[in-house]
Amino acid sequence: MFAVIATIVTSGVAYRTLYPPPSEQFFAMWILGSHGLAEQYYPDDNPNLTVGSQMNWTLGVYNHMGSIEYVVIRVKILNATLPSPDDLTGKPSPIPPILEFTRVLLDNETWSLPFPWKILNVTQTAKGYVLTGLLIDQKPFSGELAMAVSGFNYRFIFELWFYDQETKDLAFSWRTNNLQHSVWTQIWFNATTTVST
Amino acid sequence: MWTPLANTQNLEDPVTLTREAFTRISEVYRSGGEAPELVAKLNVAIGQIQEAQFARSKGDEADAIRLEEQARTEISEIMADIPGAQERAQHDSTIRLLTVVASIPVVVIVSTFMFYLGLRTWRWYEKMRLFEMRIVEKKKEVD
Repeated sequence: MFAVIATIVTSGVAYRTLYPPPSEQFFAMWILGSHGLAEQYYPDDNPNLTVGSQMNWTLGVYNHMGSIEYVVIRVKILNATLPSPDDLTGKPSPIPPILEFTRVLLDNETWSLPFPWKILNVTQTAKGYVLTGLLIDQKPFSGELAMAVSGFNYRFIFELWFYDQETKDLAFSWRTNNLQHSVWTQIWFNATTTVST
Repeated sequence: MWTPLANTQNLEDPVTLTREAFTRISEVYRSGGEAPELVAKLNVAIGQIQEAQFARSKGDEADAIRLEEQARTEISEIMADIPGAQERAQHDSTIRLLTVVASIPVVVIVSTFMFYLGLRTWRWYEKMRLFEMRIVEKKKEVD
């Protein structure tokens, strides 16, 4: 009798060892300030940025999807009125990204990447202030990047996309336990001066 | 590690290659194996492709082509290494399965034997207590 019970218990343990139950699947993404903490995102903690003032952020992504993942961080610049990503529908912001970061992450791997940036140029027009020059990770970006009335409430939006092997395309949201999930984060700033101070 | 998206053109091929390589590597992981060295190589190739895209956006077509060629070479090497990694994964998976299945009778035999030993020890202990009680009772009768 004991041998029968021991066989059942041991077989159960062996099965769980070979086929562990799936844990909750998720990605996490965060932005840290200049000292690697969730503070001091701007020089002197002042979000009213001037041309040339240097920001040193760090982006972080954690993969807990239970498998290796091909992830892409899409960086977008918006103002207050342009639509954000929608958590309820799982749709990304319709604004095109200005750049992307791509990497393959192992399960349980954390990816940290520096995101140093500064404003190179702000142009004042009849409609408002237009961000026309940025330097991100020593790479220049120019053109009409974003426009804000009075230069207030620009924002960087970071969207986390991943490669969906079923659709063979990048996806912004996924379903787990019948719930839709997507990951994105944003940081606001103002750029109200057109010259370096 | 990053991709400027302005002024990009004709970038499908190397990016598609990295995604194909990723799909193949993830098959290795799904079958219970691991290939961190291939993932690291793929990340190098992704970095080269992104640098190539930036070079192209700056108008440096020659540098872009050179970087893309390096990335293609990396990806070719990855693709060549994947069957080996797949075989290792299947081998490791079989060994793991056999080890766990073989351990079941061993655990059952050992635990049953331990249970049997415990039972015998308990019976012997009870017997000794009974024997001791009888001695005490006899002693009382003598007194």
